[in-house]
Amino acid sequence: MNKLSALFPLLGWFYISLFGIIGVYLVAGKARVYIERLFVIVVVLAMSFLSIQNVSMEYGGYTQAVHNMNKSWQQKVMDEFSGTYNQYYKTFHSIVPSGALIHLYNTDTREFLIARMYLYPASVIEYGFNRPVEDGYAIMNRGDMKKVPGARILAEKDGKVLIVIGDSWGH
Amino acid sequence: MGSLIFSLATTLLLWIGFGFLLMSLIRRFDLREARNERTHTEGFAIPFLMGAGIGTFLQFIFSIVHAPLWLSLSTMMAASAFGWIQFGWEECMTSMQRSIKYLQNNRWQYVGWFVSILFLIVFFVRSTSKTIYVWDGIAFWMPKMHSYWQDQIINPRTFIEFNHPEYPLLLPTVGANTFTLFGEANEPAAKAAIFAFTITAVVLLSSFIMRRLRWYIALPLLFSFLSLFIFREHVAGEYVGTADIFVGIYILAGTISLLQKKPLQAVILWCLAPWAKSEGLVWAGVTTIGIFFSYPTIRKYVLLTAPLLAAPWSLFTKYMGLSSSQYFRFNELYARPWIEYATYSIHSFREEFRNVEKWNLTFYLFFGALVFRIRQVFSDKALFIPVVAFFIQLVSYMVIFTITPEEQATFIAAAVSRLTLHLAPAAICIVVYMISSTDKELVHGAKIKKR
Repeated sequence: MNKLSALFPLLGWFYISLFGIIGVYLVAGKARVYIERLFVIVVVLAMSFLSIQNVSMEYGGYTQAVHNMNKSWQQKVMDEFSGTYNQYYKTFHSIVPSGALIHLYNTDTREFLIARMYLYPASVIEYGFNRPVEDGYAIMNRGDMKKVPGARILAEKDGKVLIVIGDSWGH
Repeated sequence: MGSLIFSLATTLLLWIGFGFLLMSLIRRFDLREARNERTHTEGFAIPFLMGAGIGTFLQFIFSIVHAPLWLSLSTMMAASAFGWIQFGWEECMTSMQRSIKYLQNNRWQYVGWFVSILFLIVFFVRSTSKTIYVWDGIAFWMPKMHSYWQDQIINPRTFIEFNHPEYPLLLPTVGANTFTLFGEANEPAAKAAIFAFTITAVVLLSSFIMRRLRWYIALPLLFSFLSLFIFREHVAGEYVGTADIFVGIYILAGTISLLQKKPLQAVILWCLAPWAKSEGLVWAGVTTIGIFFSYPTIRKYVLLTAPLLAAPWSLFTKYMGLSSSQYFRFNELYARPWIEYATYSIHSFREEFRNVEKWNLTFYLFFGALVFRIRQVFSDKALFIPVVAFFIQLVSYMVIFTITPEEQATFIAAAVSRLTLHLAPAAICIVVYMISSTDKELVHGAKIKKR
């Protein structure tokens, strides 16, 4: 009995009603056609009601979308990626040499993915200050530069700097 | 706004024209595939899907021999122009005449098409008001668009940089073509180009529903299906950036083709599903085998088509060492007995199907109709093949959830909706097909006849 009562929350009205309807259908004999018809009509009506609810929930999103529609494509990209688009694509991308390895300090995973996309054909690797780069390229917040002695700034945008350490620049 | 419309229009014209050319080649095989079921949807929806799938696939082949993207795109444009001039005009005129005549006899369908177009406008506005931002989009689809556009050829080294290097290139190629056309990485324009797939899916579904059902069932069902989460979020909403819905669209198109007695067209469309995303491979394999055994007259074409479409990318990834082996580490140790992982996988889909907020009562209707029409399923091979493929695909996902070494609960939470996206469109048209059979039986009082 306990196992049977445990089935109710497991299956819910969804499966229990479905099994019930199927059970009635199987024993109905000649009335099967009408059971099918009733099933389809009731379910379609219920779906329509739920759809109206779903669609009405979208209204707020739609009005906001209309407002954003006429922005330029760069504005739409910047709205989503905020400063990272200006930093990685518009500023650093044209400066980093093709195929260079860029060490990315102190970023979250999403920023790492964005940097990896926008800095291509350079490669990007996440790095930590416990193992500072001795020779190569790196991107970090300007305030962290003191942790990397001997670095030279190649570009800066909105508090983010592209630096080179050692003799990599020009190679 | 102008650039978005331009991007969408160019993509539609390009691949529809190329699709006309391809379909004229298919018809030369004189397969006697039912022409009387050709509708206004086949005026452009099926040619678009075929053209986009095979066209981007050919661009991949050209890239292997180091033909740059701008050259392959120009070639496709020339082929498309030829397709429009040679076949497009006649196709459009024929389809339009049929459509007008059909609509005059079924005036209620004006309401249905009005609803569909309204949804498309809302979806377009929602979709193009933002750039691609979803995780999958920035982790692998968009980076591949950028790299393909910048390199202009397929560079295997590139794929290893990004997540899922083994994933195929339909979506990145569409995006890279858009970047090439604009001469800059206009991401919203790429999203507008991708919206062309939404248009074909909505048109296919709307046409199929309205042709098969009476108005008092068709209109509410159409409204219900178009308001599902798959359209609101994945295809048309701001969320687009995953390729899962494209697998669903190709499976939908193939299923509709088979239900309209066009098995070769179905095979081609189903074999293009793995070109959208690797998960389509199971469905393509099962249905190809099903059609091979069920339609003896086209066996030689199936044997030719399926490997031609499915093999090159698989061979390329194996040769380049791009693998999906992270899902198949059978020798990894598990914290619990494997049966508990399997049970959890089954329960995850049990929960997903009854998620009414996402799927409405789609799967409720599907499972109910399946039991009511079980005899029809077993007697009608056009229905049997996609139904069997549905369940085998579902089981394959449960197996992946069971054996993957990733943390199961997190993986399932992130993936189960996207995987159900592959199945839902096919479930919808199977339901419509079965319901319409019920409808005819009630109207004519006839028993179900074997097809």
